[in-house]
Amino acid sequence: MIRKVLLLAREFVDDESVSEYVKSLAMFLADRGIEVHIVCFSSSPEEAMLGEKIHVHRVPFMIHGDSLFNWSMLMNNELKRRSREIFEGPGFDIVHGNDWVTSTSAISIAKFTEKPLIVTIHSTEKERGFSTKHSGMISDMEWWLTYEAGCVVSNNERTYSSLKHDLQLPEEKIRLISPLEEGWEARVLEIYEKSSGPAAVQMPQTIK
Amino acid sequence: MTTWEFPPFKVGGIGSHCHDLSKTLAAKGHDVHILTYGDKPSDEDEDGVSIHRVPSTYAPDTISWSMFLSHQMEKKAIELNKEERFDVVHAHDWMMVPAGVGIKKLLDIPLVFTLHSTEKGRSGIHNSYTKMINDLEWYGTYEAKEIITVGQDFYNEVRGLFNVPEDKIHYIKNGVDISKFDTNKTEVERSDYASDWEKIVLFVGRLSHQKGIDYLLGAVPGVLKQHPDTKFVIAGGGALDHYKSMAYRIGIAHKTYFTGYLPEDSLISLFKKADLTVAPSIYEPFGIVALESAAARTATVGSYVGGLKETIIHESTGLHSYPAHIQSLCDQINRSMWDEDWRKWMGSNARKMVEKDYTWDKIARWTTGVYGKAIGMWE
Repeated sequence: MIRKVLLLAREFVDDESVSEYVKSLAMFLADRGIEVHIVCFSSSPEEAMLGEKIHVHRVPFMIHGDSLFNWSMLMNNELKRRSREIFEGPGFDIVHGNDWVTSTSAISIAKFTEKPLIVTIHSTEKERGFSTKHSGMISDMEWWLTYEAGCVVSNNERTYSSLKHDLQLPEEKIRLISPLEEGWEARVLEIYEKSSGPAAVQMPQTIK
Repeated sequence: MTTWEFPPFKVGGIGSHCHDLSKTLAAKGHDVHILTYGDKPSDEDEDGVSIHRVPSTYAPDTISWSMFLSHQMEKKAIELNKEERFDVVHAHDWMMVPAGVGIKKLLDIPLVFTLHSTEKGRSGIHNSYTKMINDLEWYGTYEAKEIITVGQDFYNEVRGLFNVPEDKIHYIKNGVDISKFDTNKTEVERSDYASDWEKIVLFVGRLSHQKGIDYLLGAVPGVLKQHPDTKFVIAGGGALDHYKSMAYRIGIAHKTYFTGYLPEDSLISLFKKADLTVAPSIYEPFGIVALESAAARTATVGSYVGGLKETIIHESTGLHSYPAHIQSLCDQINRSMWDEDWRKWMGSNARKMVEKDYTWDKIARWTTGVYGKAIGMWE
């Protein structure tokens, strides 16, 4: 039984694809009585409510850093802190990370709390063209994130194929769920339920 | 305790520092775990200290390399914490700031942060990369419950540079393991370094501008004028070719011997065989060289800068020269070379000083005090 879910995202703003994905999912879960905690970065921190069941925790981080990779690695410390505080307070049953930018917090929080880790990869670094000096490391981070996850959700065929071939993920660990299709959120919830229920054993936790 | 380097893999002084500190803490009954880098994962126990090595990945620069390593360390810390909860996480220098802060925030335990030097002192802040390192150092001091600095001058530098409140910053000197000097079995052949009639003046350190090697080479001709039978032995890696060619251009190549990188036991033997050690640094947060030399009963001529202000007592355990001042360095080396008895007397005073003030036992006690303060034991 899923009561509370932790959603990790780089940011939670209007008209941004990952944010919209997180928002639709959160609203669907909230409609089914599930409490949702969205933890993300924002330069203007706030604790807000979206409806009655969705808690949005925007955490600040002051160092801009010399690159996206280094910024993200440090910023994730704040996501870890806020998530740990939520775990100690209301708690959660599932950790759901989005893209490599949330890797270290998603992995560490799932390990720390011993809760199932679900990850949505919106696109891989390989798809984005391997265009920065940190691309190799970002790809490594994606490998670790999807390796540690119990189940990886991809939004389209292209990402599915990249997960399978570039990150060597076994097919049984990947679900292709297009957010353009009606009722996609229900399929994500189904994964949550399978991951935390007795059927969780069917989800391979460690495959190398 | 997180440190990117730990013996037998080491480049600088942080590895030895963590080794000696953790060993002494373990001997006092503390349960010490070291998280450090290794090319493959391993867990071992040594002298009562649990050493856990985790790998990093290929990285385009040291900052991102240490970030990646930090995350691997953090995962290891979570695993270990499930067996037995940690009371405190102790990170050393900027490379371990991401790991230290991550573990602090995740496990909700206080962070103790030791700074051994700053980027501003080492190379200056002149681009986005060095700025990021400077930011990481600041971030470490900001997130730390308690900060340890290794020198009195350096304490003031860190306080001023990062605006650290006085009640959370401490000065704990570095130590030297005297027993290593007393039981060292390796003997280097003196004749490999100098002729029998030559006196050895020893420089130990990375060959870089910060260590003042330029000023030393500049001072050599003036010393040779008064003491022609002097050999300058320069031990350390770094910009070897640059300084070799500089020695050649000055015309002192035959009186300088560059050994390149030397293992620790050979260095200890060299310290004992040297007639004098020189530490002409222009920036030196602590100045361990003067203490190592002291442990080997060899006096040091060093710049009056940073930690060397304390680790050398002028005309008692060695001599001070003005930093970045060739003539002053030359004069002080010459002064000490005239009188062998005086030099030996200063060497034995230096040894007494380290026996009294720089033992790991004392340092471990002070460090435990800081840990106690971090976990609120004295409140």
